[in-house]
Amino acid sequence: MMIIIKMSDYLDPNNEELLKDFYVEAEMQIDLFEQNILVLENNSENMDAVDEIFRAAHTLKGASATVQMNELADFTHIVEDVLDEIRGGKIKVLPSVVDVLLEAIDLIKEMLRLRAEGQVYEEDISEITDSLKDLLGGQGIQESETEIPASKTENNKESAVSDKSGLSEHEILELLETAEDGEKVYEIKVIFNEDHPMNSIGGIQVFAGLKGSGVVLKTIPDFEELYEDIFHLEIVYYLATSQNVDQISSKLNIPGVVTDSSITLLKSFPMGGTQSDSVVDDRAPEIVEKPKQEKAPEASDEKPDVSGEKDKKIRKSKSTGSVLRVDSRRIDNLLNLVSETVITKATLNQIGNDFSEVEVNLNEQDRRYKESLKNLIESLPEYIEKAQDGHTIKEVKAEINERFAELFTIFDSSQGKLKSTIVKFRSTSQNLARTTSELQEGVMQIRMVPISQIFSRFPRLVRDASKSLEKKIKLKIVGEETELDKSVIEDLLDPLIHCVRNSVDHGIEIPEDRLKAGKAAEGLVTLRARNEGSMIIIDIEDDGKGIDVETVRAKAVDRGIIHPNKVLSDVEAFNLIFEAGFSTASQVSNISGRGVGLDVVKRKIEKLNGNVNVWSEPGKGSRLTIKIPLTLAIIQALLVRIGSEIYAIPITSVIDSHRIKPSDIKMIDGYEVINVREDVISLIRLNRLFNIPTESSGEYNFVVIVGSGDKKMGLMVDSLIGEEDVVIKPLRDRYTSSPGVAGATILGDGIVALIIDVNQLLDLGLKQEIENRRRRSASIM
Amino acid sequence: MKTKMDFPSINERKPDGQGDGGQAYKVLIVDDSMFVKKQISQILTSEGFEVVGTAGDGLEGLEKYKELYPDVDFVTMDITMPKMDGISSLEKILEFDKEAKVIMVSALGKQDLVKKALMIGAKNYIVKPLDRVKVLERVLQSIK
Repeated sequence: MMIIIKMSDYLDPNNEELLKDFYVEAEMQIDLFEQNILVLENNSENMDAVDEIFRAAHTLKGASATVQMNELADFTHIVEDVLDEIRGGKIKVLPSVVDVLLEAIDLIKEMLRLRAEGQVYEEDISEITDSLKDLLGGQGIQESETEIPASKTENNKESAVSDKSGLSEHEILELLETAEDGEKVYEIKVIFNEDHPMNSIGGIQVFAGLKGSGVVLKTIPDFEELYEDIFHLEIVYYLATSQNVDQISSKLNIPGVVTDSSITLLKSFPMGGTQSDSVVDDRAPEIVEKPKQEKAPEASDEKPDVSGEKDKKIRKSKSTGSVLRVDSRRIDNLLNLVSETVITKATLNQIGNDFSEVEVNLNEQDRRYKESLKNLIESLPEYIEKAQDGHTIKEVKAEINERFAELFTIFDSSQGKLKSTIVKFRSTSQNLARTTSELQEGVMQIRMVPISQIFSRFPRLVRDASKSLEKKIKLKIVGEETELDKSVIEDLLDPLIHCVRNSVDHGIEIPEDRLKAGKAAEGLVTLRARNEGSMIIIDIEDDGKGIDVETVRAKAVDRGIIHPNKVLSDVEAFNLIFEAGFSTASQVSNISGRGVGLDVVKRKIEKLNGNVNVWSEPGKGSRLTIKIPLTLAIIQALLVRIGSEIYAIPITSVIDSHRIKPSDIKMIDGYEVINVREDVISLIRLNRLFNIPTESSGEYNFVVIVGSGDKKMGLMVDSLIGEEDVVIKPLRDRYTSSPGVAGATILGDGIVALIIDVNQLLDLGLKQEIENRRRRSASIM
Repeated sequence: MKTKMDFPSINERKPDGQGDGGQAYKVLIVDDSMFVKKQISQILTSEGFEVVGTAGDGLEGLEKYKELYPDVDFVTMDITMPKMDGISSLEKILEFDKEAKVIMVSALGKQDLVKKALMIGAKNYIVKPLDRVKVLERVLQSIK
């Protein structure tokens, strides 16, 4: 069977959107595929899983063929065949089958990855296709032969048909008798196009068409045979109908499927002569139709180079942005909020109008007020005269009251109006605040995706890793519905993979050791996600041998990471494993010990404004805890003041804050330090770092203790302002190189505040410390 | 001076997706693959068809059809879908409206199902991977 691919103009190279959709969908299908294979591995009877896998492979094949990723389509097609056999129960799901399928999915992933990068997979895949085909051949004895016998049967059929391309007289009479009054019986010969995809359908398609216009009395070959998946070049239908030839021939005009057809009226031959080819020839004048030849063959001829060229074009236009699938309810919710905002806007407009109305009234009243006042003052001498003329004070007072009573009430109406407008304004602004925060949350929600998107990769990873290490490991996933920002999730995958590999490789012991230690032979790795405020916490826990504090210490000293005299708490020792160039595994394995240690994990997590901690109990196991904010766009920050400037410190790295007197600051080695409980913490004066002139500080200074893991540092500031959600705006160009600044934010009153990059500051401090130590040891020698 | 008559403009061709009165044929697309859905709708809308609805599975397709009826001229129906497959959906749609024009969309290798669908009363079928010319040809043929 030949797949004909024609260039279609809807798939122009600029159709990025379609390609983007393709990648999104392909990834989903692959995930589905992989997950269900693992399900199948544990329970080979699970037919739902088989169906799912089959559907996934099927969809993938169709989609990749459409975007002309032929290598992918062809390969997936073979996989689909195998899956179909599994579905039909012809292939049993043995471990070897699972292995081959997993291998296949890896290959598919690789092909997709290359395509996404604009390349085409060109390696030899015959090994895997052979093993897939072996499955088809080995277990499914019957099916492996389909193709050859199919063509054989076809040949047989053809010869059979041509042997008796007509019917015996008796048969014709029989057919004619079956026809009702007024109906004629036609012999319809149809030649089908073998090159059409699914070429075996044509027979039925024509049958279904004819069925609509009359009764199909007989077909050659038989109807049952038409239903089988075998291609028949020529099929003869005998149709009893009252319709005319034109009407019938319109049913046969199926471009691409039918290449030729002829309709002849069937008559009985009283002479009883021979009914073979000659009879048909005699009726030649009645041949009504010879539809155009299908152009498919040429199209397929030019396929290779054209599609190759097209491929290149498509590759260039590979998707740049990423696609987000969002639950439509979330969008609806947003729309609701937006409409509320629009209403609020209208109300605010109204309030604005009210205010200007009040202003106009006030101006008017003000004018009147001043005029009356002027009149009053001007009339004063007149009243004084009146009083002197013998009018009693009481009389004069009454007169003044009468004339200028308006002065008391002149502003009343405006006052009332102003009051009610202000009340309205307050409530509207409250509404606005509520909707805005809901909108903010709603938009964040849109970017939220369940962490299962990356957790779903781990069953496979653990399975493969444990297999290659000959360990027995079970993976438990908890809280996979926990959601976090898409941009975070993308950057989280690598560190998580690293951590899990670490647990599998270094944490879990081999079964013998576990049994010796009195544990179950099967190790358990738990991947757990949960929310805590605006943070998400991910634990990677194993019940393996745990971290040996002494080994870690010794190694750290050996590598020069810590000073031999340094006293370390257990927690500090555990955290040493995050230092660069640290690996406690004595041997390098291909799973996790590849020279990159957990320091990479730490760096990546810190990039996400998060932190990593480790806890361990020797013999019981260890746990890595990753804590990251749900989103990167908005963070909670502690606002502090330095001189006239306001800085924001991400709350996730703030440990606590203290008020100190200048006398609390002690000097060690030329560094300013303070004692906080048991700890000695070095200080950085932010005003010096950022070069901000400050007045000699008053009685007290404020120190914000920041840190991640075991590293802590005190930042000295002038005053603390408070906690607030701030929107991070990245700083562009020349500002980005400023040490210790992660970005900027605009505060409610429009002031720009810089956000402090705590990790950079810590590194800065650490560098100084190491530098100093080197200097010191150099001077001793 | 040359008149318009000398240069028959290609723009004067009526888009295939419009009936004689110029009104657009209305189509309901039923497919569980968002990707295929988009493709079909791109192909059809480019020729002036109007996509009046889409559905992600057979059951939804059936409900949509009932909802849209009679303002729907034909349906493209995927065969392999979750919940209710295309064949059952086709059956149900035909039960509801025996004049319904349903065109099956099938991947290679589903011969038996396509045959079944045609026998039940599907008007035609389209094979994935979709080809613009083929799709339009089949659709137009089925709605005439």
